[in-house]
Amino acid sequence: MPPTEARRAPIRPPLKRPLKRSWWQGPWPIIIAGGLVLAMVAALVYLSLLRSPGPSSAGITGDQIAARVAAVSPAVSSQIGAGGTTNPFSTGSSTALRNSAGLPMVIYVGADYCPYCAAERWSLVLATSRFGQLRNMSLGSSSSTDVFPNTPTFSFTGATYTSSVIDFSFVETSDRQQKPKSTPDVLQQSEFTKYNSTGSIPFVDIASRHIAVGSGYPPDVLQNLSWSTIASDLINPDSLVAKDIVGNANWITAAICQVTGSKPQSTCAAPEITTLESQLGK
Amino acid sequence: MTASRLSAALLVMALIGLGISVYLTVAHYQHAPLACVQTSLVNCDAVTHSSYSVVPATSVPVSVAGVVWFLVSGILAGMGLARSRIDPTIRVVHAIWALGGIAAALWLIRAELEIIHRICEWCTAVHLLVFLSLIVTLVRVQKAVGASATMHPDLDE
Repeated sequence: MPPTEARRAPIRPPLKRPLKRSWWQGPWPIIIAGGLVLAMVAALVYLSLLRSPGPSSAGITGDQIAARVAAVSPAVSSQIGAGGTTNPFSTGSSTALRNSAGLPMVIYVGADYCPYCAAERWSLVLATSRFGQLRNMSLGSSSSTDVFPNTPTFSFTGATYTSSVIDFSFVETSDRQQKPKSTPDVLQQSEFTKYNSTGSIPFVDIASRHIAVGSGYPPDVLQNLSWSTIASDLINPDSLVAKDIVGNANWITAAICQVTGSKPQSTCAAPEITTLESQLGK
Repeated sequence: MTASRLSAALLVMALIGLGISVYLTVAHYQHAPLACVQTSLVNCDAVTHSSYSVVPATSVPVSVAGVVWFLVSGILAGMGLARSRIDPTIRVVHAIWALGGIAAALWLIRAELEIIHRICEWCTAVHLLVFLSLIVTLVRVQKAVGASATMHPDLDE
């Protein structure tokens, strides 16, 4: 057969076979990667909710939380200093108010419904725990219908305070529903009227020398937090909660140190306290 | 979706993120209040005034890091757009950059949820953009690797 007549195989285009894709070329790797990131965010949200169990105080007592507040370490306190808070005190009398035993008197007047009192109590608990011991504390929250509703706090009602350097007395004039609760004693009422013409609360009087009317920081930083979360935050000097509560407590501590003659030394010789003390009016 | 469209999407996200980061940076240095709601949960002022609003051990606001991140992301996306053929190296570098971004975002989300207990909506928008950028960069890497494995270098262009 001549070569020209040789039958040649027809040239066909290559078969269009679909490319077989491996699993990693499909959508799964992307879904898994995205899912992993979302799962990590979900875990963070879950852990956050776990640490903030809401308003329930089941299983914890006021004394337990107060003990955790009182246990704020000197290192955290030193790192925070004023924590961004400003001097809450105005100058009162030049003579320190003392009880019959010669101890400087620290007076707090507030009310259960008051959210600013709720915020102030955290700092007061920390500051006064540096000079003595609070017992029989209970947990509470401010009014549910006022501004900053349900701000978590302590209740001083039924609490006792013992100290060898100061005389700390406290009174809550109204309950959470703003109904009358307790009446200030003569001395408390006298100081309250003398230094607080508007009758505002909270009122903190450090031996008549330093007077604070209103809270040392805004209560919104405590909103939606549980007592445990707040206490936990106090070990972290970077947290807003710690800066406000400890910062304000350091001002109160400095004011108290000024009337106790810097006793006890373990508290009053701390650098952040002496620094704040120097910024207070004499 | 073609690789050039994916690159364009990355570029758009980088530009939006850049805009937000510049806004947060300017507000930080001018001490200007941010346009955001102030509730007990959502409160950008609380977040942007926290110690987590600066790069650790510096006084540089994290929004500056955001500016840098979106700038680099935009440049990498632009390089992807400008080239007519697949450049796997750029895509891999971009994906690694996005992974770094998402790690930083997770660290900041942890600070918002666990420590500050407040969420900043501007920051959340930035975190979402970083997350979406990560997804898109991974898709681009997948396409590049898939194309080279099947010997069709320009299959998806």
